[in-house]
Amino acid sequence: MKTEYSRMMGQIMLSGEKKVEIAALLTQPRRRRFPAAKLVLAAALVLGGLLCVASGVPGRSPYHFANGGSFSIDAYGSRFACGDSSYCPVEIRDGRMWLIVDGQETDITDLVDEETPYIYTRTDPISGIEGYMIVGGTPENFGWAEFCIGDDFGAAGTAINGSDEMLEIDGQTIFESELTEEQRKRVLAERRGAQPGEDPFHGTTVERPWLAEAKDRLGIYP
Amino acid sequence: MDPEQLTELFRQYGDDVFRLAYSYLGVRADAEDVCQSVFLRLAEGKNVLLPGKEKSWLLTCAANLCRSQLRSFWRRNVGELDESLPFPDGPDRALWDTVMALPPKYRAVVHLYYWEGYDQGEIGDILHISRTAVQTRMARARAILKKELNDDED
Repeated sequence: MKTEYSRMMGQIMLSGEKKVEIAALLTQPRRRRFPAAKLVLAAALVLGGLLCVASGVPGRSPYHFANGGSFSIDAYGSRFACGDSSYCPVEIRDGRMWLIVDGQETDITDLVDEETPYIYTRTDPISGIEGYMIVGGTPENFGWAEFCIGDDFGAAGTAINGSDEMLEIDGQTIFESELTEEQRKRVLAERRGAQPGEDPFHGTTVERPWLAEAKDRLGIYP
Repeated sequence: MDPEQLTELFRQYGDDVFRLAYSYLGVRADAEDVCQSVFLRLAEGKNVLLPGKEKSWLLTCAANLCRSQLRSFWRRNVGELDESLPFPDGPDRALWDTVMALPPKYRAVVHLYYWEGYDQGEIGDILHISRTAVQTRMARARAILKKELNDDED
């Protein structure tokens, strides 16, 4: 049996096309999701300061985010300075969403949904670099992002609650944000007990439609 | 792990990971997806591979992903006839069809034993099952194969 099995299996191998595809994926830089667009995602900018650098480093093209952080480029690469990690440009008042940025307040409740972003254009008063505050979703489940775009660095910024996870549970495909409390507890418990590399719910992270639409409009994707 | 190391591991073990996934799942496209996922997980750099244990880590990860896929809703509701085999007929096709008729958990043990040459303890480590479970599955798989193929076991 060993001989026959080995003869049979010896004929089976990955196709040349698939080998080229996987090898190409493995040689891509890991930290840059969209290298062609020079997009730098830095969730840590407002989430926890993991990418904090010492302030006072002279940089070219500094862009100042609404939360007080900044992005700049110098001879050593890109630099983020952390701002206020608790900052949020959206306030919910009486069930309505208000965008509050640069001293302006705008009721955007009827202008956004899960598919449609609201894009507020702002210009850094010091560098003159253009930036975009993006909001989408609903008052119960909204997200926001801020990107700056420059000729010399592409796009840089951060997104908060800009992605969702698609899970297979109870015979259905459901977004994590739509799980019931019971389902959420079950997902947590079963994932804790799973083997390395194994996800009982086959979770797939996907960008929320409003953010994808905004990036598309702004030309952030290649 | 840098891209050169990843590429070298893929060159060395890519086909082996694919073969285990193919024998486990029986569908080329699914096996290719699993193979790709295994190496991309390695590329994420969250796992430390001990020298000399790279292959067993890759096969363990592949087996875990295969098990997940077999339990998935989509997988359970899809039937597929794989026409991409390099042996459309003949004895190899007959053997493939017979092996594919085994339960997936038997197929994994058969593959790791006959193709990879692992012993029962090593197979148990890769599949996260006891040595006794490996013995049981191997014995049952052999009995079915022998009956179906009317073949003398070596």
